[in-house]
Amino acid sequence: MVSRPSEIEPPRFGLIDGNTFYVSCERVFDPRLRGKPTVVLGNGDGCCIALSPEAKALGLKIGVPIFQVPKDIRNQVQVRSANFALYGDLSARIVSILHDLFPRVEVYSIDENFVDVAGMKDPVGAALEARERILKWIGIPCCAGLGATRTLAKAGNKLAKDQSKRAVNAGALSVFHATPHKLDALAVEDVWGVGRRYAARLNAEGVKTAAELVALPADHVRASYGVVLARTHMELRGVPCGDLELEEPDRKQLVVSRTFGRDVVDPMEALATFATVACEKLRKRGLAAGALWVWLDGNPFKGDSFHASRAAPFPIPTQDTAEVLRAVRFLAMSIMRQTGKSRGVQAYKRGGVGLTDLVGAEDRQADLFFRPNEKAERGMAVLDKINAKFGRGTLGVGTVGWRVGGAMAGERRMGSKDAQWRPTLQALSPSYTTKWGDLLAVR
Amino acid sequence: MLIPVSSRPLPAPPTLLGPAQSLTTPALPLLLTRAACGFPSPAEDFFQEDDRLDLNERLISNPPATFLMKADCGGSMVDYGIQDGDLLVVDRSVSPRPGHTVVALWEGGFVCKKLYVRGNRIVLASSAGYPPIIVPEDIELDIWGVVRSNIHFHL
Repeated sequence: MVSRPSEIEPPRFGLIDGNTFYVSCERVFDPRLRGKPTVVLGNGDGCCIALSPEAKALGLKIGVPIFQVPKDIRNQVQVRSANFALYGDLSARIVSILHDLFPRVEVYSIDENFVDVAGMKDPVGAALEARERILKWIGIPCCAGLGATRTLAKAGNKLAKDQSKRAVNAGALSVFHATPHKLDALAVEDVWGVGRRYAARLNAEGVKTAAELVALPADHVRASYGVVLARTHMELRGVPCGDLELEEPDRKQLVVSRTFGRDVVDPMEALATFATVACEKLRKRGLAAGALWVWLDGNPFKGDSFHASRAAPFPIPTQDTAEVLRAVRFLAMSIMRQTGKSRGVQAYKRGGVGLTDLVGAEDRQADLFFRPNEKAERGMAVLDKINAKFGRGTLGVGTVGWRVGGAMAGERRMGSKDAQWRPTLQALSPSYTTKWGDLLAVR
Repeated sequence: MLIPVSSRPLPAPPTLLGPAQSLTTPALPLLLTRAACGFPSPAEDFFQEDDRLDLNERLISNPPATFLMKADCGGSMVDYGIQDGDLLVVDRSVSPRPGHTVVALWEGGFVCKKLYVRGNRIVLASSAGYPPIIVPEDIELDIWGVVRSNIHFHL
């Protein structure tokens, strides 16, 4: 017989996250956006990645390319390009506030932080205090979920969001302590760890809410849905299956990909730049890449669903940008030769480079015939130091022409042929908090 | 100036990406002893590596709530010691009180003004010769932050 879900457990975890975070960040420094439908575009101004509630009310959806939105609706909407320098700065300030209030903080994403509330006398009060400080000190409205497990905390956060949405001044409604008995209002597809496919199968079984999922017998969940959902099920019942992850786990792969500002015929410079950025990140983490992966896409919105990818292993895991660039060139040429033969001139709208099979640079196995190119890797270390001191892109390898973050608004960008692939950020807000020249002027 | 210290030991704060951090280096040495030829400096015994003056400590009492802005007031704050081009250190965690210099939202933009209350009205005051803003009673004034200090550049 399955034990009943635990009685009211004191919360152990909290999840605190910013409401429509990117839009809120823009609104801190641009009061004209307040109360108006606002969207933030990612992917080089392609798709909506954040929507204010007012924009949602107009029927806009996350992920929709902005040019597909009918003109009369687009004209009512304030549009901004994603300004990750600003969002990252405000996010770090939020983490700093949480570190003052809670003994442990897991930075889960740019706008979500798990905190440890175990043993606290008044966890709801602490969550409210955190919300107050973040709202007053930084200007970002937040909601908090509390629960005996991380999954319950996440569920509580969703319920707090729904609750506070219906209030003008959210206050205490912005914190929700989720227990296994208070999950009726949560749809099963909104449970953390329940994907769309699981949700569809659960719905077919008549399980529509998180509460109904909790009521399913544990052995049935394990037998029909596997061990992953069984863990989620346990967590919803208040049995923790995981603790805060305070260290970033080692990456399995590093991917850099972008949508180009325009369709380009020769994507070599773009790919070389992505590879360079990926190699920088690789060395920063002390990793080496065992294999390389390159892909190019056509423009699906012009009816060209072209996609091609190639991968190749390295003889021994490498950290050397030059070696990676040689391989990128080889793989990209191979893709372009194929498309050139069968389809005439191919234009590309999107491309990417992935470094995979990552291993610790120190853990590489010695090989009878190949060894890491120590001289090249020492050179890379010097290159990284110089770029860290004088800014990214100070020193690099010939084929690279990337301006990290894309062309700034107003910058000459379509002028030269080689700049065509750079994303154009038409509506980028200034880096108010990270650049001396961009500080807000006060009249 | 007091730096807030909580009773329980705090973990190392996360790195601030903003300009608050770029002020950190270089810290000024408190005592710079020269190589003494012959007679050893009596100050040496009192000088330790961490005896450095950090401008952040004086200027920024609450880093996550502090934002830097640029004064562009058209001379309207000269009487209060703020000239155009000055750097404003704005603290959002300070609750605004009469007499504070504040950054407020007015007519859709940011303004730097002196905050007073006269009678029942909130007044945003400027230098002599500039008309003060008397906030109508039915309007909710949004004060963005309180100016803690301003930095004037002479060179």
